Amino acid sequence: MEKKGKGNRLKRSERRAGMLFIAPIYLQFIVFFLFFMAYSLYMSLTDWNILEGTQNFIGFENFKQILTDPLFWKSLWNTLYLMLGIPIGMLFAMMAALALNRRMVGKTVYRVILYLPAVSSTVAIALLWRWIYNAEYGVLNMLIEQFFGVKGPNWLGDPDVVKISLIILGVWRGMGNTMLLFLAGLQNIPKEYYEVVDVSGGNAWHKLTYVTLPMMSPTYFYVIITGVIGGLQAFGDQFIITGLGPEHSAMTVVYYLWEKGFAEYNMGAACAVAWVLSIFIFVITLIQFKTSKSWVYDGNG
Amino acid sequence: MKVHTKQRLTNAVIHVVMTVVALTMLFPFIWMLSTSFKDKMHAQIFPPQWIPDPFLLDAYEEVWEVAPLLSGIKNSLIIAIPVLLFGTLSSALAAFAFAKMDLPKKNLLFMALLSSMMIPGVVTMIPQYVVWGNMGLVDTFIPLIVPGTLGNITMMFFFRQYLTSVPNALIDAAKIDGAGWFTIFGRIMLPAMKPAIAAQVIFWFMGIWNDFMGPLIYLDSEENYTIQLALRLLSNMSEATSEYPMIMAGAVISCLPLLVLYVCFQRYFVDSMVVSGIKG
Repeated sequence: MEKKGKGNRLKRSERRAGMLFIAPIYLQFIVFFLFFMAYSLYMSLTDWNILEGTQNFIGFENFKQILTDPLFWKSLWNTLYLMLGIPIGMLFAMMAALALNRRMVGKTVYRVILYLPAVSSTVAIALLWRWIYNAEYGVLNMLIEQFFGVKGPNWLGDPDVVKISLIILGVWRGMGNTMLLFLAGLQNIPKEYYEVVDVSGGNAWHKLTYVTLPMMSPTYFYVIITGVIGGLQAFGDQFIITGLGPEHSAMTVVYYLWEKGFAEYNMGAACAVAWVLSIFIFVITLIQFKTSKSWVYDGNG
Repeated sequence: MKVHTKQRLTNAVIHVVMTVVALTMLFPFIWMLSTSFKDKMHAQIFPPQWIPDPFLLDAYEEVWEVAPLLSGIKNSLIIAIPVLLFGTLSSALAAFAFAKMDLPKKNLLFMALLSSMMIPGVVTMIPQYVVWGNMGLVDTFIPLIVPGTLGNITMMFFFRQYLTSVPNALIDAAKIDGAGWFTIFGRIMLPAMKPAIAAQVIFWFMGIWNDFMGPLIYLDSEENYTIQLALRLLSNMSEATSEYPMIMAGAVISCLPLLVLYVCFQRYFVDSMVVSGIKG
């Protein structure tokens, strides 16, 4: 009887300590997530403007205005277009990972160099590429003229080229990260699978197409999910390198939100954009999870 | 013998290809460094000059006076240090509780925290700005410090994964010796988590150093600018006069701390990637 009482007391003290340990992070969750999420939902239903001082309830008016604004759809289109960089980056990263997944002198050096852009200061990289892409004095167009004798494109000033310029930068910056993930994935493939191919008389090409590439599907899934969530929130590069771009050709959804909030001070509309974006991210992620069952290898055959 | 030769040939081909790839990846950095050691004239001559001649340090000397880079570095550290110190402690405590302790409705509490990662940060950004504004705290570091000191859910998740590999026997033994939960955390858990803490702190530091949108929204006066805002200011002021060597010198300076961290702690980058990315 006494022993049980002591056990209960210990259990109670453990629970008390545990609740105390999670208290700070829960305080953050409740205040900076739950509370402000509810606040944001409320604001999205008002004409909250901190410049004009209005904050009247207007129902779904903000959502209606955004969804009928051609500029919003353009920014969504731009954002999706820029995400073309995800498959391109994956392709290059996969080739690099396959090349480096072997015993070879100097492979660490290549790995470090490819990852370098990912560990550089963001604004520095943006300013560097802004300089490289400069139509007149940028080194890229100088090289094009030097070696091909033609004038290069106006990388940041031509609405048809701006997005391609941003994709090149994105692939360059993100490739090292994806390659490290792929290298880790490659090392997780059990050796026996390759031995089976050997026994049944397959060659290196069979190993690649029947074992390596399909077995990497959980990694592709992770890279695509995180890439899409990050890509839908693109903002900084555009803000620094191109601004809105010629004819708003570089305006992303978050950039659109930023304009609503911090150029027009229309906080209600900015919150509504944030919610439209969240719903969009949620639906896309859900679709990816649902379809993943048909193509992601889950270890059960 | 034949297999051996074939393997060597493959390696040689890969070396050639990877050298070309590596040089392409490095080319922007080479141009950044090269420009930063030139004068304004030589930065723009055709054909491009790869090795600066004359080789000048002027941009590195003058850049500090053109833009508030030094106070930018200082301000970024003022934000990073308390956030990393308290935020890491808070994340580690919560991770310990979720991994090793008995809590009522533990899984529900844990999943609720994780679910918040699905909502993009811009959702809570606007009302937060409004509330900090009403409190008169815009253009101070408070909005950039306070939320982070309470923890970081990604970090907490990573720590919890890591702690599942620490044997419970260690905790049981300490309990028999009459150690309290704080002692167990401080004497056993923290030391066991050292590599995970190192990796996560480096990543978080990079995130704070590179944060652009937060400071852009909250900090108005130049003396409060973080390193990223100071860099942007440098570019805004120097581009009209084509002072590209200066801008590139500033860019190099802002990259240096991150590159030093990367070179010194390269192992952690790969480790934390593997755990958080694939097994997590």
